[in-house]
Amino acid sequence: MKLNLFFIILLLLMLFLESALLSFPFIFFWSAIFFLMRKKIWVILFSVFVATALDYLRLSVIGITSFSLLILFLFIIIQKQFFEAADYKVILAILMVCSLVYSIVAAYGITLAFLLACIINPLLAFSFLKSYMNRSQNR
Amino acid sequence: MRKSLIASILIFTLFSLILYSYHDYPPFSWLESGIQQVFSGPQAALYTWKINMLDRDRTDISQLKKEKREVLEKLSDYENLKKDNEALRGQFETSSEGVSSTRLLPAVVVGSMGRMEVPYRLIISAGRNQGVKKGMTVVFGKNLVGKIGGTSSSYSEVILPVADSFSALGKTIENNTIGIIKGKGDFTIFDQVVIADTIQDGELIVTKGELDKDGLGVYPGIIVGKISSINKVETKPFQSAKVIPLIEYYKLYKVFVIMPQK
Repeated sequence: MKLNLFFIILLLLMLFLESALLSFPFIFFWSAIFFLMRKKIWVILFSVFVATALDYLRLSVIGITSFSLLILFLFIIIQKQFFEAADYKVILAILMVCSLVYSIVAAYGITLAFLLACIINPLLAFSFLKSYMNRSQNR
Repeated sequence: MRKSLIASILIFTLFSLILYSYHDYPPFSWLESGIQQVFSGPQAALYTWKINMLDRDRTDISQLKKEKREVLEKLSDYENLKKDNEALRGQFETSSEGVSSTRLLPAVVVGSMGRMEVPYRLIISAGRNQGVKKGMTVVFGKNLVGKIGGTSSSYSEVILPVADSFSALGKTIENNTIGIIKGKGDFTIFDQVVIADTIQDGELIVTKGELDKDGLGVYPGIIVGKISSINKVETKPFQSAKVIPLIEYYKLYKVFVIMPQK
Protein backbone atom coordinates (compact mmCIF):
# COMPACT_ATOMS: atom_id res chain seq x y z
CA MET A 1 0.00 0.00 0.00
CA LYS A 2 2.84 2.36 0.98
CA LEU A 3 4.72 1.45 -2.18
CA ASN A 4 1.65 2.18 -4.32
CA LEU A 5 1.27 5.62 -2.74
CA PHE A 6 5.01 6.25 -3.09
CA PHE A 7 4.87 5.52 -6.82
CA ILE A 8 1.71 7.55 -7.41
CA ILE A 9 3.31 10.60 -5.75
CA LEU A 10 6.63 9.94 -7.50
CA LEU A 11 5.01 9.78 -10.95
CA LEU A 12 3.04 12.99 -10.32
CA LEU A 13 6.24 14.73 -9.21
CA MET A 14 8.04 13.38 -12.28
CA LEU A 15 5.25 14.84 -14.41
CA PHE A 16 6.11 18.34 -13.14
CA LEU A 17 9.84 17.68 -13.30
CA GLU A 18 9.77 16.39 -16.86
CA SER A 19 7.37 18.98 -18.24
CA ALA A 20 8.99 22.05 -16.63
CA LEU A 21 12.56 21.34 -15.53
CA LEU A 22 14.39 18.48 -17.19
CA SER A 23 14.06 17.09 -20.66
CA PHE A 24 14.46 13.44 -19.73
CA PRO A 25 12.00 10.48 -19.92
CA PHE A 26 11.49 10.02 -16.16
CA ILE A 27 7.82 9.05 -16.54
CA PHE A 28 8.74 6.34 -19.02
CA PHE A 29 11.38 4.82 -16.72
CA TRP A 30 9.49 4.99 -13.47
CA SER A 31 6.17 3.79 -14.90
CA ALA A 32 8.02 0.71 -16.18
CA ILE A 33 9.59 0.14 -12.76
CA PHE A 34 6.18 0.58 -11.13
CA PHE A 35 4.70 -1.97 -13.52
CA LEU A 36 7.54 -4.41 -12.83
CA MET A 37 6.74 -4.22 -9.13
CA ARG A 38 2.97 -4.22 -9.40
CA LYS A 39 1.59 -5.98 -12.44
CA LYS A 40 -1.95 -4.70 -11.99
CA ILE A 41 -4.49 -3.22 -14.39
CA TRP A 42 -4.88 -0.03 -12.35
CA VAL A 43 -1.11 0.55 -12.67
CA ILE A 44 -1.50 0.42 -16.46
CA LEU A 45 -4.47 2.82 -16.26
CA PHE A 46 -2.59 5.27 -14.02
CA SER A 47 0.53 5.11 -16.22
CA VAL A 48 -1.55 5.79 -19.33
CA PHE A 49 -3.16 8.79 -17.62
CA VAL A 50 0.20 10.27 -16.52
CA ALA A 51 1.72 9.58 -19.96
CA THR A 52 -1.21 11.30 -21.70
CA ALA A 53 -0.95 14.29 -19.35
CA LEU A 54 2.77 14.49 -20.16
CA ASP A 55 2.03 14.58 -23.89
CA TYR A 56 -0.43 17.43 -23.33
CA LEU A 57 2.08 19.38 -21.22
CA ARG A 58 5.12 18.78 -23.45
CA LEU A 59 3.10 19.29 -26.64
CA SER A 60 4.41 15.99 -27.95
CA VAL A 61 2.49 13.89 -30.44
CA ILE A 62 -0.59 13.04 -28.36
CA GLY A 63 -0.60 9.38 -27.36
CA ILE A 64 3.07 8.70 -28.19
CA THR A 65 4.17 8.26 -24.54
CA SER A 66 1.27 6.02 -23.55
CA PHE A 67 1.66 3.99 -26.74
CA SER A 68 5.42 3.51 -26.19
CA LEU A 69 4.84 2.64 -22.56
CA LEU A 70 2.22 0.03 -23.41
CA ILE A 71 4.55 -1.58 -25.92
CA LEU A 72 7.21 -1.72 -23.18
CA PHE A 73 4.71 -3.28 -20.75
CA LEU A 74 3.88 -5.87 -23.37
CA PHE A 75 7.61 -6.65 -23.83
CA ILE A 76 7.98 -7.01 -20.06
CA ILE A 77 5.14 -9.53 -19.90
CA ILE A 78 6.16 -11.45 -23.02
CA GLN A 79 9.88 -11.70 -22.17
CA LYS A 80 9.05 -14.12 -19.33
CA GLN A 81 8.19 -16.72 -21.95
CA PHE A 82 11.70 -16.59 -23.36
CA PHE A 83 13.90 -15.81 -20.36
CA GLU A 84 14.14 -16.66 -16.68
CA ALA A 85 11.40 -15.03 -14.57
CA ALA A 86 13.78 -12.80 -12.61
CA ASP A 87 16.34 -12.09 -15.32
CA TYR A 88 16.85 -8.42 -14.53
CA LYS A 89 19.62 -7.98 -17.08
CA VAL A 90 17.19 -8.72 -19.92
CA ILE A 91 14.59 -6.33 -18.48
CA LEU A 92 17.29 -3.70 -17.98
CA ALA A 93 18.41 -4.06 -21.59
CA ILE A 94 14.79 -3.85 -22.82
CA LEU A 95 14.21 -0.75 -20.67
CA MET A 96 17.36 0.99 -21.92
CA VAL A 97 16.71 0.26 -25.59
CA CYS A 98 13.00 1.16 -25.37
CA SER A 99 13.70 4.42 -23.53
CA LEU A 100 16.32 5.41 -26.08
CA VAL A 101 13.96 4.67 -28.98
CA TYR A 102 11.17 6.58 -27.19
CA SER A 103 13.53 9.54 -26.55
CA ILE A 104 14.35 9.73 -30.25
CA VAL A 105 10.71 9.40 -31.35
CA ALA A 106 9.45 11.92 -28.76
CA ALA A 107 12.25 14.42 -29.69
CA TYR A 108 13.98 14.70 -26.32
CA GLY A 109 17.22 15.99 -27.89
CA ILE A 110 19.89 13.32 -27.41
CA THR A 111 23.21 14.51 -25.99
CA LEU A 112 26.13 12.73 -24.31
CA ALA A 113 24.83 13.69 -20.86
CA PHE A 114 21.42 12.37 -21.88
CA LEU A 115 22.91 9.02 -22.96
CA LEU A 116 24.81 8.76 -19.68
CA ALA A 117 21.62 9.49 -17.76
CA CYS A 118 19.87 6.84 -19.88
CA ILE A 119 22.32 4.28 -18.49
CA ILE A 120 22.56 5.57 -14.91
CA ASN A 121 18.84 6.12 -14.33
CA PRO A 122 17.74 2.51 -15.11
CA LEU A 123 20.67 1.17 -13.07
CA LEU A 124 19.55 3.22 -10.07
CA ALA A 125 15.95 2.22 -10.62
CA PHE A 126 16.98 -1.40 -10.89
CA SER A 127 19.07 -1.42 -7.73
CA PHE A 128 15.96 -0.04 -6.02
CA LEU A 129 13.80 -2.73 -7.63
CA LYS A 130 16.22 -5.53 -6.76
CA SER A 131 16.53 -4.53 -3.12
CA TYR A 132 12.74 -4.34 -2.91
CA MET A 133 12.37 -7.81 -4.48
CA ASN A 134 14.99 -9.31 -2.16
CA ARG A 135 13.27 -7.81 0.86
CA SER A 136 9.85 -9.09 -0.20
CA GLN A 137 11.31 -12.60 -0.83
CA ASN A 138 12.95 -12.66 2.61
CA ARG A 139 9.67 -11.84 4.34
CA MET B 1 -3.88 -12.79 -14.71
CA ARG B 2 -1.34 -12.65 -17.52
CA LYS B 3 -4.09 -12.88 -20.14
CA SER B 4 -6.15 -10.13 -18.52
CA LEU B 5 -3.02 -7.91 -18.37
CA ILE B 6 -2.31 -8.46 -22.07
CA ALA B 7 -5.97 -7.80 -22.90
CA SER B 8 -5.99 -4.53 -20.93
CA ILE B 9 -2.68 -3.45 -22.54
CA LEU B 10 -4.23 -4.03 -25.97
CA ILE B 11 -7.37 -2.07 -25.00
CA PHE B 12 -5.26 0.86 -23.74
CA THR B 13 -3.13 0.70 -26.89
CA LEU B 14 -6.32 1.07 -28.91
CA PHE B 15 -7.25 4.01 -26.67
CA SER B 16 -3.85 5.62 -27.37
CA LEU B 17 -4.41 5.25 -31.10
CA ILE B 18 -7.90 6.78 -30.81
CA LEU B 19 -6.41 9.62 -28.73
CA TYR B 20 -3.76 10.18 -31.40
CA SER B 21 -6.36 10.31 -34.18
CA TYR B 22 -9.06 12.37 -32.44
CA HIS B 23 -7.17 14.56 -29.94
CA ASP B 24 -8.55 17.74 -31.51
CA TYR B 25 -12.18 16.70 -30.91
CA PRO B 26 -14.24 16.73 -27.69
CA PRO B 27 -14.00 15.18 -25.12
CA PHE B 28 -10.23 14.86 -25.70
CA SER B 29 -9.85 18.59 -26.40
CA TRP B 30 -11.62 19.34 -23.09
CA LEU B 31 -9.25 16.97 -21.32
CA GLU B 32 -6.28 18.74 -22.97
CA SER B 33 -7.56 22.17 -21.99
CA GLY B 34 -8.31 21.04 -18.41
CA ILE B 35 -4.90 19.43 -17.84
CA GLN B 36 -3.03 22.41 -19.31
CA GLN B 37 -4.98 24.94 -17.25
CA VAL B 38 -4.50 22.99 -14.02
CA PHE B 39 -0.77 22.46 -14.54
CA SER B 40 0.22 25.81 -16.10
CA GLY B 41 0.55 27.65 -12.75
CA PRO B 42 2.82 25.14 -10.97
CA GLN B 43 4.76 24.52 -14.20
CA ALA B 44 5.45 28.25 -14.65
CA ALA B 45 6.52 28.54 -11.00
CA LEU B 46 8.91 25.59 -11.36
CA TYR B 47 10.33 26.96 -14.60
CA THR B 48 10.93 30.40 -13.05
CA TRP B 49 12.63 28.69 -10.10
CA LYS B 50 14.90 26.85 -12.56
CA ILE B 51 15.86 30.14 -14.27
CA ASN B 52 16.66 31.74 -10.90
CA MET B 53 18.78 28.75 -9.88
CA LEU B 54 20.75 28.82 -13.14
CA ASP B 55 21.21 32.58 -12.94
CA ARG B 56 22.01 32.84 -9.21
CA ASP B 57 25.79 33.14 -9.48
CA ARG B 58 25.86 35.23 -12.58
CA THR B 59 24.13 38.43 -11.55
CA ASP B 60 26.97 40.77 -12.56
CA ILE B 61 27.45 39.15 -15.95
CA SER B 62 23.68 39.20 -16.51
CA GLN B 63 23.57 42.91 -15.66
CA LEU B 64 26.36 43.66 -18.14
CA LYS B 65 24.68 41.57 -20.82
CA LYS B 66 21.39 43.36 -20.18
CA GLU B 67 23.06 46.76 -20.55
CA LYS B 68 24.81 45.62 -23.72
CA ARG B 69 21.51 44.39 -25.13
CA GLU B 70 19.88 47.74 -24.36
CA VAL B 71 22.68 49.62 -26.14
CA LEU B 72 22.38 47.38 -29.19
CA GLU B 73 18.60 47.78 -29.19
CA LYS B 74 19.06 51.57 -29.16
CA LEU B 75 21.49 51.23 -32.05
CA SER B 76 18.85 49.25 -33.93
CA ASP B 77 16.27 51.97 -33.15
CA TYR B 78 18.70 54.61 -34.37
CA GLU B 79 19.25 52.77 -37.67
CA ASN B 80 15.48 52.38 -38.13
CA LEU B 81 14.94 56.07 -37.39
CA LYS B 82 17.58 56.98 -39.93
CA LYS B 83 15.78 54.88 -42.55
CA ASP B 84 12.42 56.37 -41.56
CA ASN B 85 13.85 59.86 -42.00
CA GLU B 86 15.21 58.98 -45.41
CA ALA B 87 11.84 57.57 -46.43
CA LEU B 88 10.05 60.66 -45.08
CA ARG B 89 12.28 62.94 -47.00
CA GLY B 90 11.77 61.01 -50.22
CA GLN B 91 8.12 60.03 -50.06
CA PHE B 92 6.59 62.09 -47.22
CA GLU B 93 5.42 58.99 -45.44
CA THR B 94 6.83 56.83 -42.65
CA SER B 95 8.27 53.38 -42.96
CA SER B 96 5.82 50.55 -42.30
CA GLU B 97 8.58 48.43 -40.77
CA GLY B 98 8.11 47.23 -37.20
CA VAL B 99 5.22 45.86 -35.23
CA SER B 100 3.15 49.04 -34.90
CA SER B 101 -0.01 47.64 -36.54
CA THR B 102 -0.18 44.70 -34.17
CA ARG B 103 -0.89 43.85 -30.56
CA LEU B 104 1.33 41.83 -28.26
CA LEU B 105 -0.04 38.88 -26.31
CA PRO B 106 1.99 38.17 -23.16
CA ALA B 107 2.64 34.50 -22.41
CA VAL B 108 4.45 32.75 -19.59
CA VAL B 109 7.11 30.14 -20.41
CA VAL B 110 6.19 26.85 -18.74
CA GLY B 111 8.79 24.49 -20.17
CA SER B 112 11.59 23.95 -22.62
CA MET B 113 13.12 21.20 -24.71
CA GLY B 114 16.76 20.48 -25.33
CA ARG B 115 19.80 21.11 -23.18
CA MET B 116 19.14 23.16 -20.06
CA GLU B 117 21.17 26.19 -21.18
CA VAL B 118 20.62 25.76 -24.92
CA PRO B 119 16.94 24.93 -25.42
CA TYR B 120 15.66 24.63 -28.97
CA ARG B 121 11.98 24.88 -28.11
CA LEU B 122 9.96 26.73 -25.48
CA ILE B 123 6.46 25.89 -24.33
CA ILE B 124 4.31 28.92 -23.51
CA SER B 125 0.98 29.21 -21.75
CA ALA B 126 -1.00 30.68 -24.63
CA GLY B 127 -2.75 28.56 -27.20
CA ARG B 128 -5.63 28.36 -29.63
CA ASN B 129 -8.04 29.63 -26.95
CA GLN B 130 -6.06 32.89 -26.83
CA GLY B 131 -5.93 33.18 -30.63
CA VAL B 132 -2.37 31.94 -31.14
CA LYS B 133 -1.74 30.38 -34.55
CA LYS B 134 1.11 28.45 -36.13
CA GLY B 135 3.70 30.72 -37.76
CA MET B 136 3.19 33.75 -35.48
CA THR B 137 6.27 35.64 -34.31
CA VAL B 138 7.32 35.57 -30.66
CA VAL B 139 9.45 38.40 -29.28
CA PHE B 140 11.03 39.66 -26.08
CA GLY B 141 11.53 43.40 -26.25
CA LYS B 142 12.88 44.04 -29.73
CA ASN B 143 14.47 40.60 -29.93
CA LEU B 144 13.24 37.58 -31.82
CA VAL B 145 12.44 34.60 -29.60
CA GLY B 146 11.12 32.38 -32.36
CA LYS B 147 8.13 31.25 -34.36
CA ILE B 148 5.06 29.38 -33.16
CA GLY B 149 5.61 25.80 -34.31
CA GLY B 150 2.43 24.23 -33.01
CA THR B 151 -0.56 25.04 -30.85
CA SER B 152 -2.92 23.24 -28.50
CA SER B 153 -5.87 24.53 -26.44
CA SER B 154 -3.87 26.50 -23.86
CA TYR B 155 -0.22 25.88 -24.77
CA SER B 156 1.95 26.61 -27.81
CA GLU B 157 5.46 25.65 -28.78
CA VAL B 158 7.97 28.27 -29.84
CA ILE B 159 10.67 27.14 -32.27
CA LEU B 160 13.80 29.07 -31.30
CA PRO B 161 16.25 30.40 -33.92
CA VAL B 162 18.81 27.78 -32.79
CA ALA B 163 16.49 24.87 -33.68
CA ASP B 164 17.31 22.85 -36.79
CA SER B 165 13.78 23.41 -38.09
CA PHE B 166 14.00 27.22 -37.84
CA SER B 167 14.42 29.26 -40.99
CA ALA B 168 13.59 32.91 -41.76
CA LEU B 169 14.71 35.70 -44.04
CA GLY B 170 17.10 38.18 -42.46
CA LYS B 171 19.17 41.22 -43.31
CA THR B 172 22.04 43.17 -41.83
CA ILE B 173 21.01 46.47 -40.34
CA GLU B 174 23.78 48.61 -41.82
CA ASN B 175 24.21 47.30 -45.36
CA ASN B 176 20.80 45.63 -45.87
CA THR B 177 22.58 42.46 -46.94
CA ILE B 178 20.03 39.70 -47.29
CA GLY B 179 20.47 36.10 -46.13
CA ILE B 180 18.66 33.22 -44.49
CA ILE B 181 18.61 32.82 -40.71
CA LYS B 182 18.94 29.12 -39.93
CA GLY B 183 19.18 27.10 -36.74
CA LYS B 184 22.00 24.61 -36.34
CA GLY B 185 21.01 22.92 -33.09
CA ASP B 186 23.28 24.89 -30.75
CA PHE B 187 23.59 28.19 -32.58
CA THR B 188 22.18 30.29 -35.42
CA ILE B 189 23.77 31.13 -38.74
CA PHE B 190 23.15 33.84 -41.32
CA ASP B 191 23.43 31.73 -44.44
CA GLN B 192 23.16 32.01 -48.22
CA VAL B 193 24.67 35.50 -48.32
CA VAL B 194 25.98 36.33 -51.80
CA ILE B 195 29.78 36.42 -51.71
CA ALA B 196 29.89 39.93 -53.22
CA ASP B 197 27.70 41.35 -50.42
CA THR B 198 29.21 42.94 -47.32
CA ILE B 199 28.83 41.51 -43.84
CA GLN B 200 30.93 42.59 -40.88
CA ASP B 201 31.82 41.20 -37.51
CA GLY B 202 29.56 42.63 -34.81
CA GLU B 203 26.89 43.74 -37.27
CA LEU B 204 23.27 43.35 -36.16
CA ILE B 205 20.97 40.97 -38.00
CA VAL B 206 17.25 41.71 -38.12
CA THR B 207 14.36 39.85 -39.70
CA LYS B 208 13.44 40.90 -43.23
CA GLY B 209 9.80 39.96 -42.79
CA GLU B 210 7.69 37.25 -44.37
CA LEU B 211 4.01 37.89 -43.76
CA ASP B 212 1.09 36.25 -45.51
CA LYS B 213 -2.22 37.97 -46.31
CA ASP B 214 -3.56 37.23 -42.80
CA GLY B 215 -0.57 38.90 -41.17
CA LEU B 216 0.91 35.57 -40.05
CA GLY B 217 4.63 34.96 -40.28
CA VAL B 218 7.81 36.68 -39.20
CA TYR B 219 7.56 40.45 -38.75
CA PRO B 220 10.30 42.71 -40.14
CA GLY B 221 12.88 44.64 -38.14
CA ILE B 222 13.13 42.27 -35.14
CA ILE B 223 16.65 41.75 -33.82
CA VAL B 224 17.97 38.20 -34.23
CA GLY B 225 21.49 38.80 -32.92
CA LYS B 226 24.90 40.04 -33.96
CA ILE B 227 27.51 38.48 -36.18
CA SER B 228 30.32 36.84 -34.25
CA SER B 229 32.31 35.13 -37.02
CA ILE B 230 32.21 35.02 -40.80
CA ASN B 231 32.80 32.00 -43.01
CA LYS B 232 33.86 33.33 -46.41
CA VAL B 233 35.64 31.37 -49.14
CA GLU B 234 36.26 33.46 -52.27
CA THR B 235 35.76 30.50 -54.62
CA LYS B 236 32.27 29.75 -53.28
CA PRO B 237 29.14 31.64 -54.37
CA PHE B 238 27.81 32.17 -50.83
CA GLN B 239 29.19 33.15 -47.45
CA SER B 240 27.73 32.58 -44.00
CA ALA B 241 28.14 34.00 -40.50
CA LYS B 242 27.54 32.77 -36.98
CA VAL B 243 24.95 34.86 -35.14
CA ILE B 244 24.91 35.33 -31.37
CA PRO B 245 21.51 36.31 -29.94
CA LEU B 246 21.33 39.30 -27.60
CA ILE B 247 19.05 37.39 -25.26
CA GLU B 248 19.59 34.06 -23.52
CA TYR B 249 16.62 31.91 -24.39
CA TYR B 250 16.83 29.72 -21.30
CA LYS B 251 16.40 32.79 -19.06
CA LEU B 252 13.12 33.88 -20.60
CA TYR B 253 10.09 33.44 -18.38
CA LYS B 254 7.75 35.78 -20.21
CA VAL B 255 7.53 36.36 -23.95
CA PHE B 256 5.14 38.16 -26.31
CA VAL B 257 3.31 36.76 -29.29
CA ILE B 258 2.73 39.27 -32.10
CA MET B 259 -0.96 39.11 -32.97
CA PRO B 260 -2.04 40.71 -36.23
CA GLN B 261 -4.63 43.46 -35.79
CA LYS B 262 -7.91 42.75 -37.57
